[in-house]
Amino acid sequence: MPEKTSVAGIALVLALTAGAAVAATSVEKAVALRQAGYKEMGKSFKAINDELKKDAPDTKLIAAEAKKVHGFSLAIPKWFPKDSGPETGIKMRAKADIWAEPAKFADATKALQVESQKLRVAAGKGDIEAVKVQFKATGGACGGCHKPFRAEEK
Amino acid sequence: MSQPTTPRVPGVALWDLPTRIFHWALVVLILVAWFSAEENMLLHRWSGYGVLGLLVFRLWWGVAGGSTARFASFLTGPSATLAYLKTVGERSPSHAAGHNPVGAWSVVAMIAVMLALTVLGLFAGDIDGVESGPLSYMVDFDTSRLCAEWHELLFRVLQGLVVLHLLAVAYYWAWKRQNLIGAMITGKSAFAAEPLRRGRLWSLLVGLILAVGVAWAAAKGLRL
Repeated sequence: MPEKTSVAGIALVLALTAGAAVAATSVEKAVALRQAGYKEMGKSFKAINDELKKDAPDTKLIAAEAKKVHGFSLAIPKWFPKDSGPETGIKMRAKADIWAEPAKFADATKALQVESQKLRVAAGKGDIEAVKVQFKATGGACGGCHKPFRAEEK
Repeated sequence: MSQPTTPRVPGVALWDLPTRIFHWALVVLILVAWFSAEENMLLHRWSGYGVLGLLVFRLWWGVAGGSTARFASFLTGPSATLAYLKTVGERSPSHAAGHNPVGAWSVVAMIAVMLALTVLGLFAGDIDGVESGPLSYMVDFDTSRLCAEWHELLFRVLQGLVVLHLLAVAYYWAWKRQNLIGAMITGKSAFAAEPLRRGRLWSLLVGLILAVGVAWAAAKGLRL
């Protein structure tokens, strides 16, 4: 199951960036894919958050978006190929530490995968209260990686 | 009768209590909002609701409050503003009853900027889709990001206006020998040309209900 959603996530991101990245180099493509992936993950998060604020949240929508979030989390390790860091000169917030401390980065990624899997399960059951709790935990896992590995906005 | 006339005019009422509470509560809440931004978003949102309530109250008090709080009493046209500007360099206290014609525009600018940035904050969302204002569900991801960026930009503008405000207060203190801070604390001024006419109690209550009502509705995301 997770592999399936992972493939779905990657396919979605690929489709989204394919048009924009036609003439780009492979490094530019990698960065564009990564940034589009994170943006889509943010959109999915917002979509869940928006539903949770409603009196009658759409459990199907939440389940679909949670599935996407988990799929994206599984794709993250493929979003940071070698030599696609800030040394490329491309505008990005990814820090060089991602490549300098691969074990630490892998742990942080794993934490998101674990939490987003729990989110996916809770959302699949349509348990709104559990989703609310797990949304916070998953958001915390995002932060667990963003604090050390994402640069401040310039 | 034989008493010598004192050079000091006894303090006359200038700022009513609601206006003073508005001013200092706003100072506190803006500082809380500033330092909690991106650190403690729960506190940031709550301070924002507080600021929104205060601004709603101030707008109401500006049309139905004490005389010196009313916009009509201190907003003047370009000619009066220019006339005041010509005297502002004089080394004597200003006798404007409340906001002087130049300060009035500073007040309006600060209120307008705070109102705009607070409303933008209601619609704002962070880049991760995790933290958001209570009305961000009404707009899409990109719009919520745009609101967040303008929210931040307008805060920089507000910082600039507050620095101007503080410089003006310091100028009145040092050059014109006029203590504006004391007047905003005690409500009394030795220099007011005409004393304050206080607002009505019912008007105060209406203002409080409006302020709490709007802040509460916003915090609830307009789902009542």
